[in-house]
Amino acid sequence: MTLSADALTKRFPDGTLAVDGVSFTVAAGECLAIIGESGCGKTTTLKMLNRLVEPTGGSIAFAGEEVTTLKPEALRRRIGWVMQGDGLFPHMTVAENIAVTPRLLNWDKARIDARVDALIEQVRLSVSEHRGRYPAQLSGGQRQRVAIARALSVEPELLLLDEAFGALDPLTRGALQDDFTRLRRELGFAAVMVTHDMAEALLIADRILVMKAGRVVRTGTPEDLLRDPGDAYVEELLAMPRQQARAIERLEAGHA
Amino acid sequence: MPDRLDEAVANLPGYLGGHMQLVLSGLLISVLIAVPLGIFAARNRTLAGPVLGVASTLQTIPSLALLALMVPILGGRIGFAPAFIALTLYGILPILRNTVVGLQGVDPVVREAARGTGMTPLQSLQQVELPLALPTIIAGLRTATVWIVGTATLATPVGATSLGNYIFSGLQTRDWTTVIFGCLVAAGLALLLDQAIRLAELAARERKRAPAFAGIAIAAVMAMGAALPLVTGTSAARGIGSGEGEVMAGIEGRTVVIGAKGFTEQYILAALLERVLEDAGADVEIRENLGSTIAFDALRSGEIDVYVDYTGTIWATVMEREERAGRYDMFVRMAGWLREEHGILALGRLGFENAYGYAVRRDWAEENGIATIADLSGRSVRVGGDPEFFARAEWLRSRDAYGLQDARTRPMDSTFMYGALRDGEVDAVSAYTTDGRISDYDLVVLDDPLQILPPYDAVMLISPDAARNPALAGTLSVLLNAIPAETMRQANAMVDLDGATPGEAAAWLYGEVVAAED
Repeated sequence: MTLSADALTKRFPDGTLAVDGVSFTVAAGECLAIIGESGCGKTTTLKMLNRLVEPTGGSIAFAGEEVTTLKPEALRRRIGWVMQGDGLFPHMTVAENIAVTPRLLNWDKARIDARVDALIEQVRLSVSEHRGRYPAQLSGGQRQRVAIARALSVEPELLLLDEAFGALDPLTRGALQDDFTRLRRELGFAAVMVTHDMAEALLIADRILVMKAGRVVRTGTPEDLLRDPGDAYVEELLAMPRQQARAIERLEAGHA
Repeated sequence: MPDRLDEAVANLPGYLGGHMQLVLSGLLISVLIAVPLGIFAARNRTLAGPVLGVASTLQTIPSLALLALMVPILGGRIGFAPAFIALTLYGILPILRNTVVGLQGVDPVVREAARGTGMTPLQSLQQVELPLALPTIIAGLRTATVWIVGTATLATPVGATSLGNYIFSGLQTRDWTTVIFGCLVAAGLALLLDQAIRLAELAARERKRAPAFAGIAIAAVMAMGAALPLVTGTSAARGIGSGEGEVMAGIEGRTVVIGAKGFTEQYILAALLERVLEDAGADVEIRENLGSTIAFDALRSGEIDVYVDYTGTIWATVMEREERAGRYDMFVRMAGWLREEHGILALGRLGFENAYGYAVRRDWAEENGIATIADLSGRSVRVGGDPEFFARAEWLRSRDAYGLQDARTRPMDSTFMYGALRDGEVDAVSAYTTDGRISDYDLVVLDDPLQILPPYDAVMLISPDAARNPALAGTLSVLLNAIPAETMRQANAMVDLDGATPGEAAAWLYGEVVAAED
């Protein structure tokens, strides 16, 4: 078991209860999508996993260790983090961005260089073309690829993704989603991804956790959810991708 | 005026070096204070407001006042220390403000990315926030540099050597060559430093060698310039009053520091004292352009050994007496008071008075039938004068005694007031009675029948330390009662009207009053 969260709770100083007793597990190599509308507590839940937000209740075990016993920085260096809107350092080149965490861990230069080149290839960018560029010189999709490469730099067991593909145009998003699935199969890391896009969750995740107002309303595989939504809210979330899929089928049938 | 230019160039190493010492040290300490304080304030948002508020308030104090205030705050210290502290305070605001703004302007997403990749708060600051805020901080540093280079020219009245020496002396002696020379050098220095910082920033940001070398080269030249006075200055000087508790004898080989306020007569007298003391074998340093009370504070604390002041000035501004006294009576009571209160030796009178008097144009006086100050009563005359005069008791008392309530006051630099009177811009000025321009511009000094205006006998004052060495007083006593008012007026006219340097006027005066006695 890579990760297990038990009765996670976050009450902010102003009294807002953002996350209320959320429990889940992530097996080694598994991808869990947390889905829900804005303000449902999904991003807060994700940020508690690497202690960017401190929980006010419950516990989290990562690779068998209770995370509150680890230093936050040490924990974060072991977990990859891809954030909404890439979060690259604008004053660093692609290579420097990817090398941030290895440098914090005092890897030697040769090892860092080799790792950076390998990652650039793995996220399907070109070493010769992109290595020395600054983020401002890249397209949105390329930036997000660099962000994923950075998150994978120290070969983490677990990746956390916060709306990682949300800001991209549909074509780029599709390509990146495919590459992400491929990378996961090749490298075998587990992932927790937050999204508000049910279609994305259905296509990428092994399991989906639906949140509403800080609580879990449903957990299951994409197949489980499609077969038996089990909750009016889940039904509502599934309605849109289903309608779109049917509309496309009808169009294709019409042309045929 | 090639002579003036030659003299200005000859003074350049000392003035420019002094200026750069002030600027570079003030800038360095400003950065060392403002950047950490800015980092601290940026991280504690509740603190950012008050910290910026205090710094902004400091900035609103006029720079000349801030410099002058440092002298009493430091217990009468003049020279480098008060100027350096005031300039440092002045440089803090732009750097502090830009540090806070630069750090607060870092995208929160980027800050979160720094935490998310496992940086500690310190690593985030060093590797992400400061590099991203650097262009803003550098912009603040460049603003501070230009401000400090400019403000350092005002360090002259508190006794620090700077390019301001050109400007203050030139302004007082109406020597525009020197004033412009000083301005050009100061402006050039500001531009050069600004460019040096810009190149250094460019080099740091793009990791280019060429601008880095250029920046380092400029910095090296600057540092060498700042070291100039150290090389040319005398080392291991023995002060005239050094040696606690023992009575020092002899003057030969000892260093005497002569003070002078910022006007022609003072420059000439300082140069005259220098000649007399150098005759006796002393090494002389002159601190010119001291503010009026700053000169006295500097004497009291022993920063200068001797200077010439005027009885009426000490009486009113130092002793804070309001009652009137006769010429001789005032000198005796002042000398006693100075000795008892401060241990200062009032060596004696030089022989002339440089009093305030109301001067008017002769033709205007005749047209309007004016002979005494009382004749100005009830008229809406325009009175020009140096700013100090209108704050003094003699203005207030003469106004009340002679009915000058309808007069309009126009404070201006004393250099300009005689010309303003000649050109009809004002009707009367608070003239100095030894000024050479009174006769040259055909002005008359009005009678003072009520004897409201106090006597201003020129007196040599010696610091408590220096007073313990009788050789100094002995050497200077050759000047006692040696300078008649008319002689002083002629010496002043040589500088103010004929374009001679104060040194040349002092040489002439020396020939008149010292050599003639031999």
